[in-house]
Amino acid sequence: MLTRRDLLRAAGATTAAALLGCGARARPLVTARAGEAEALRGALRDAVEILATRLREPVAYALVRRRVRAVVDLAQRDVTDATTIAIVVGGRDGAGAWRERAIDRAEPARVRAAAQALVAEAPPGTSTPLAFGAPIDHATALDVEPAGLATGDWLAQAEVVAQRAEATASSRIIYRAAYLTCDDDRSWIVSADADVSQRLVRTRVGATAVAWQGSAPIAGTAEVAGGFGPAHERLGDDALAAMTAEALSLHAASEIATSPSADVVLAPAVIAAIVDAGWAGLGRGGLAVVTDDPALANGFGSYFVDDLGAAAAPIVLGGAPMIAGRARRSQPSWRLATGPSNLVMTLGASDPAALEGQVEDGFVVDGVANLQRDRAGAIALRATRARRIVRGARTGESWRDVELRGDAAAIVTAIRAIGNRAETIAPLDDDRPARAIVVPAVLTRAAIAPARGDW
Amino acid sequence: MTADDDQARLVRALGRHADIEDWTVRLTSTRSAWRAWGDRDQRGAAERTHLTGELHRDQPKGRGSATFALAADGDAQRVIDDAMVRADDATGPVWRTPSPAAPAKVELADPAIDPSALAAQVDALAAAVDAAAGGATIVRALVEIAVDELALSTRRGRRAGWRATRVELSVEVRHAGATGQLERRARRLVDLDLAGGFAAARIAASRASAAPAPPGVYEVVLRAAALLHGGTGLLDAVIAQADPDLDRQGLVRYHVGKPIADGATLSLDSDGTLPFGWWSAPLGDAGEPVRRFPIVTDGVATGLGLDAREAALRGAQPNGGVRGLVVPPGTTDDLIAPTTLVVDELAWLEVEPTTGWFRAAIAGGTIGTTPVGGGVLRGDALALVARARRSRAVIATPRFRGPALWHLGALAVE
Repeated sequence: MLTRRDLLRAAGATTAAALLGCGARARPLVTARAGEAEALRGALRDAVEILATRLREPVAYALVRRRVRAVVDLAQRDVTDATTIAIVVGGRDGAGAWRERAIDRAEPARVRAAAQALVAEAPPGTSTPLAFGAPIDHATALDVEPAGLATGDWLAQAEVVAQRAEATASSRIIYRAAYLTCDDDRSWIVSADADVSQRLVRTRVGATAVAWQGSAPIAGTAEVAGGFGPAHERLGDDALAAMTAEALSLHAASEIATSPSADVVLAPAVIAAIVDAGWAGLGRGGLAVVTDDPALANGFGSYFVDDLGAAAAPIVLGGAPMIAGRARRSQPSWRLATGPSNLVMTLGASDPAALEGQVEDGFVVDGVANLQRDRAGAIALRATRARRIVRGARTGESWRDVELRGDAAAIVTAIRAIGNRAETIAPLDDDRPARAIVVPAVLTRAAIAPARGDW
Repeated sequence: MTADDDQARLVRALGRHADIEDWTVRLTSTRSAWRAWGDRDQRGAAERTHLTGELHRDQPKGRGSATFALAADGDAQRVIDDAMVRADDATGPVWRTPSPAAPAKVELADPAIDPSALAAQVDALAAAVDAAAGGATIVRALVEIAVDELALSTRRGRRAGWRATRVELSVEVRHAGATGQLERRARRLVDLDLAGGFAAARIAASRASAAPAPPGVYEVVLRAAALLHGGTGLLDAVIAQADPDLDRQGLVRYHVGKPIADGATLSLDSDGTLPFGWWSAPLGDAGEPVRRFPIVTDGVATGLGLDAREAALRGAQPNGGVRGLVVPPGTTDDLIAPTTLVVDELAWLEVEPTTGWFRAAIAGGTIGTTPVGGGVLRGDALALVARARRSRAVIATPRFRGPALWHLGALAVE
């Protein structure tokens, strides 16, 4: 029997087939599986009771992550929807060593079996009294509930972004894409004295446009990322227009002259990459103050409690060691690690024009292709664009593919003016816990050179 | 419910679809144990499964393909439905799945690794690491031993299964006030070469504080560890040109049958059947057989890495793609003069796959007897490795068999 989807496919309307009719079913809601969630929570409590017979600081952790990714470009419309499960039970043995076991199935019997196996391996000699207390549930307030969206809804949101981007385009744009991704994480952490769950939703809405200039493609990108629901409106029309303008911008065929120490106004994406690479070595003393803030409202890297159940407070980098409340787990190993959440730079008073107005002879640097860093902290950031500034005004000269060099901490310390509007940059890095860098444009000094040398 | 149950449900559900022309399902079940020490004292174990596959649907306008993954206790039918929709949205040229061929015969499981005693073996490995560190202080270390059981099934009735072992270690050491890094990945414990690795890490640490190479033009020799930085290193420039996707799109510098660069002398084979090779396997992800094949012979491009689809589109046999790298020995060991810059280790490396352009920072090396701890190299990686003079002395790692020294010629150092 032909379905509506078959008919649409037969008519060549494969996109419509994906968006409409019987192919677009609502997903089962993670939050609707109340029975399963309660069974899992009960199993985690059971596991902690088992762990407490032989371990200190017993903890049982569970994560159910639903990840939806919708992409629309010139050739395809694609949506993927995947679920990841991680269960970890752990504790500290009598000798002080941390022990844990990880599994990827959430059946209560398996969770308990993992705890029993861990206890069997640990030397005897210690135990922990338990006082769970009442369960505490945290959840992000959402403007759009991802669990309520069907497959077609996700694609429709990406389509709207693509259409809005197209409205800013010209015939020189040879490639466009728009995307919307969303991680809907439910985690439960049961320890000797707490039983906490949290739901964290992280969304990215973005687009890219590419134009040819000579023999090289020039790309413009726009993205908004944060701890909010999947709403395409988060990405503004002004950002999409700026994306297209960047792709269409013309650059000199010549290479930028090497300067060992130049005044540079770094766009938020550029200083964010530097802070992300060098945050561990940042000290206090410069104008810029960077804080790791897990409680940042709508922060892409925000959380209520860390993955051991500890509440987290902001910490200014360069002061107290960044340990408390920062035990985090990430795929694929789900091992405990310490890492930043939202690295937030304090805002200054300068609007973008005022920042550039302070430059006698220098450059505005924007667009990050990649950043390389050696063990000593020296970076070589490959930026996509640099524009010349003389006596506070852009000269119209611009170059593509430039390299910014220096010591990451030194570049941050040398900041002498800070912009008054921050952007959130969320690195796409699944092998580390979700994190963001929230920074404005800054004025600092660094070496600048052509990335390709004599190539 | 077990992962095997999930796999069986998925295969049954796929089998009910006459409108799916072909499919492959792959289940990887991993047991592992690990230990971290130095700045922490942690040990753990993990059991994970990864159930993935791909399906192909033939439409009047061509064949559409999609990959999929089924989570534990996931809804197999929903996953298939979604994949079918995506396959129909991603239709390409018509091709037919090649006839099944025999899996490669390759050993991947270290007989010295007992899957039932991984925790004890991790402890033994950690003790061996401590002993091999010698005078260096271990700042932080992580070792992991894993056993993968792989099961692959296809629509056309192929059933294959094999076991593979993995040993990975990452150690940061402090020696003479500077730090060095040791990274190892192998299928066998004996292939870790802890003594050699720590000796290199100690040397690297001692050179980390040395002054950068003064800017200028040098005759540059890369040791294999530097050439292969991050796995395949500068050879990525050649590997990328063997990508049939890039070849078909015209995004390559040469085609099969043409010299890869002026004056090229390089020969390079892919061998996915190296015993205990890191990239070795009997079958590829889609069930295609893995074979040894030449990528470049005497400076002339001779082959591409072909999965089932690319092979079918070209009327060729699949070879499982580019895997372990084999380069024949060079003709001399007289490659280093007193003024030659010998690079032991790179700090970082970037290679553009389509152009072959690279930039790299030197982490440690020597000019004569003078240690150097910095400097940036840039250039055409493809031309440099194609023309490089290679040592007669060879090394063997789980990912590479070939010359220990590569003389790249005169190169500017910034």
